[in-house]
This record gives sequence, structure tokens and C-alpha cells, in this order.
Amino acid sequence: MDENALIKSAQKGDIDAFNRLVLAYQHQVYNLAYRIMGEEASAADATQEAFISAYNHLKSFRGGSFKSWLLRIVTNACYDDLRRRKRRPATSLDNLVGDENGDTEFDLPSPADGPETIVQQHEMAALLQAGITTLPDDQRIVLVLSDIQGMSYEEIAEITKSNLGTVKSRLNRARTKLREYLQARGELLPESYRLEGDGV
Amino acid sequence: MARQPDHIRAEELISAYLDHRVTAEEKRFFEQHLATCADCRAQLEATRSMIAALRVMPVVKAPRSFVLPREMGKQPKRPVFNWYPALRLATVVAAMAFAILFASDLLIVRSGGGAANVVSIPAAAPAPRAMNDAAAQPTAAPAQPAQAPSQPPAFAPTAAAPAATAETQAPVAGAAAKSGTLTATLSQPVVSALAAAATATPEATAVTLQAQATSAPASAATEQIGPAGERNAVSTPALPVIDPLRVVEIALLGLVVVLGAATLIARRRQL
Repeated sequence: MDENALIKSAQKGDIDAFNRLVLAYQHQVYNLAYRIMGEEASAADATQEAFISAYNHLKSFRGGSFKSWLLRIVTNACYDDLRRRKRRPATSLDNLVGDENGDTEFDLPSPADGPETIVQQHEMAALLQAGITTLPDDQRIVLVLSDIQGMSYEEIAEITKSNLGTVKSRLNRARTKLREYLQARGELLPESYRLEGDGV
Repeated sequence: MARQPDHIRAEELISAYLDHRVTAEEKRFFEQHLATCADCRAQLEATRSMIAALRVMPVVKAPRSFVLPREMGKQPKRPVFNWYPALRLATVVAAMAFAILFASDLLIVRSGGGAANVVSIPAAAPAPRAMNDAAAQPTAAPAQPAQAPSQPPAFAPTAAAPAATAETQAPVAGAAAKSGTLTATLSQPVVSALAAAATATPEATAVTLQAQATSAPASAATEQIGPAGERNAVSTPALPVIDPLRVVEIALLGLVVVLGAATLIARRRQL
């Protein structure tokens, strides 16, 4: 069964069809929540909330990209969650590094990458995540949607219910802050971290 | 110091420049500034590297499954679901039709028997009322058969008349009583209507408590038919022919049993 057929069935109340969509997208949805929330429990809560909300509002989905629709819902769930409890102390770096032998599972970047690259990427990812959690909510969400999810300014403006100018300035401030965070920790000296095939 | 505002403006443009979101004028300005500012060149490179690193951040796997519990789903409609209310209604209608027909028929036979027995005319007169009472107050019904033998002999023939008719239907009533315990709410009116009138089985009389609702209109109907029945009985003295009404009654009872069973099956399949 293709995605559209599953969506149609789910819209008629078929929970099994909906759950097949959940299984197909839960990693992407959770990943976005994790990057915004910065820790597992909140990300899991937001993800579950998002899927429940998606199921209850499935009638309002009228074509287009189902993935984008889901990501918009989970972003809003994170937004609400963050707003609800205001600012909390950011997850400590130790915690994130400790995940290495903890519960959090990472996809290996690529089997072709050597072990050094993998370790380097994991360390970098942990540092980036720690930096992201220090950003103000609005900036953090825009940065995650743009630079991790690869969304366009237009998509981000729609999700965050703001205009292109706001997206542009928030993203600029977020990138500047994150860059300063990393530079303060000795990262991002131009030669220190270079990716092969850097096409940006 | 004249460079300071330019430098601030250029820093503001780094992010948009990397995303190709600058105007032609901004682009020209930025690239001109870049040529003269080593700091801005370094920041541009650093930002570019950072974005590249963000893009390849590993995908974190969900720690658990987020599938929704099945109870959240609305049950998809099945054809059986549509059969159940229709069958239930049909059973109730058939049962009520049978109850009314049987009650009125009973009254006709009774008053007919009373009219035929010349000696017991005064005794026969309260008899239909007693039956009406029995139908109207089913709790009194179990007391009736106990009293019946002890009544004066004049009452006996009139009591025997419905008893005889009831006997012919006893197997049917028994079957109805058995299925009645299964079909609970559905066949009860039928069984209890039988029980109230003929007191066919003791377990059936136990059910009569709940028959009040259906018995009430039934007795009302018998009261209406009452005078006509007596007139009828006088004009045609009791003839032991098979009444076509009896055939209709039996057929109706059969229909009720079949419908009740079908309803029960439909309901079970729905659940």
C-alpha cells in the first residue's frame, strides 16, 4: 500500500494504517524533536504528542508532503512544550558525551568512513547539540529546521508562522551564537573541522 | 574607524550570503568588504564549516515505538453492524404483535367458554377480569395456578379452556423460554406474555416481573376487545374447530423465535 492509500484509510479511522505511517516516520519526527529539545525524555513526549495530534487532526491534512506536515506538527509540539516550562538549564555537555555508552543510538554516518571520522563526528555532534540547547527557543527552532532538516526559508516561515525577514534574522543570530559557542571551545578554527565533499 | 559600520553590516550578511539570500547590491558590498577584511573571511569560513557539520549530524533513532494504541482507533463499520438494529426492531415488533394477538385471542376463548357454560355465567364473569389482572400484575401470576384448583367447580371449565389452548403451545412456549433466557431482553416479552396468560413454565413466570411494560398495552387491548369477544361468543357457541387465528399465532411465535436468534447472532458478531 502506498502512502496516500494509508493516509486515506487512516483518515477513515483505521489505526493500523496510521501506525504504519508512524513506523515510517517516527525516527525523523523524533530526531527533529530531539534536536530542538536537546534531551531524550522531552523529545519522546513531544513525538508522542505530535503523533496523537496528527491522528486527531488527520482530516485537516489535504495532500502535499505528509512528512512536512508531520514535522510541522512536532515542531509546534516542541514549541508548546518549551513555552510551557520556559527556560530550563541546558543539558550539560558531560551528559551528552556520556551518551556514547548510554541509551542514545546514533546511525553510523557511513560504513566507508573510518573509525576516526566517526568518533570525530560523534564528538562534534555532541558539541553542536550542546551549543544548540543554549540558543533561545525561537532561534534554536529556526536553526534546527534550516541547518539540520534542510528546510527552505519559506517552509520555516510557514511552520513558525513568521515572515521571511524574521526567519533570516533569527537564523543569522542563531548561527552567530552557535559559531561563537564552538569557537570558545576551540572548534571551528577554519582548518580544525573540514568535511570532504563540502559542497556548501 | 570608518570601516566599523561596514564591518557590522558585513557580519550581518554572512548567514544570508551563504544561503544565497542576498540582493545583488548586498552581494557586491559583502564581497568587496570580504576582500579587505580577514576577520570576516575567517567568520564566513567558520560559519560554512559549522553548517556543513550540522547537516551531517547523525540521525538519532527513536528510543521506542510511537505507534498509537488500537483503542484509539474508531471501529471501521461492518455490514453486520447495520443488521443488528433492524433485526432487533423486527423482533420487538413481532413479539408485541404476538403478545397482543395472543392476549386478545385468549380473552375470546375465555369468554366463549364462559358463555357456553350456562351454569357458570356468574362465575365466568370475573374470570376475564382475573386474567386481565394476571396480565396487568404479573407478580400475582404465580398465585393463580395455585388457586385455580381450589376454586369452586364453576370456575374450573373456564380455567381449563385457556389451559387446554396453552397445552397445545406448551412445547413452543418451552422452546421460547429456553431461547428467551438466551435472547434476554428480546424474547422476554413473548415468554412472559405466555407465562402470564397460561403460566406455562415456572422459570417463565419468574421472568414476568419484567413483562409489565408489554403486558399493560396487551391487557388494554383485551379490555377493548372484551365486549366484542363476548358478543362473538354468544353468536357462535364454542366450536372445537382449528381457529385460523391459532395458526397465525404459532407462525408469529415461530417468527419471533427465529428473529430473536438472528438478532442474537448479529449482536454477537458485532461485538
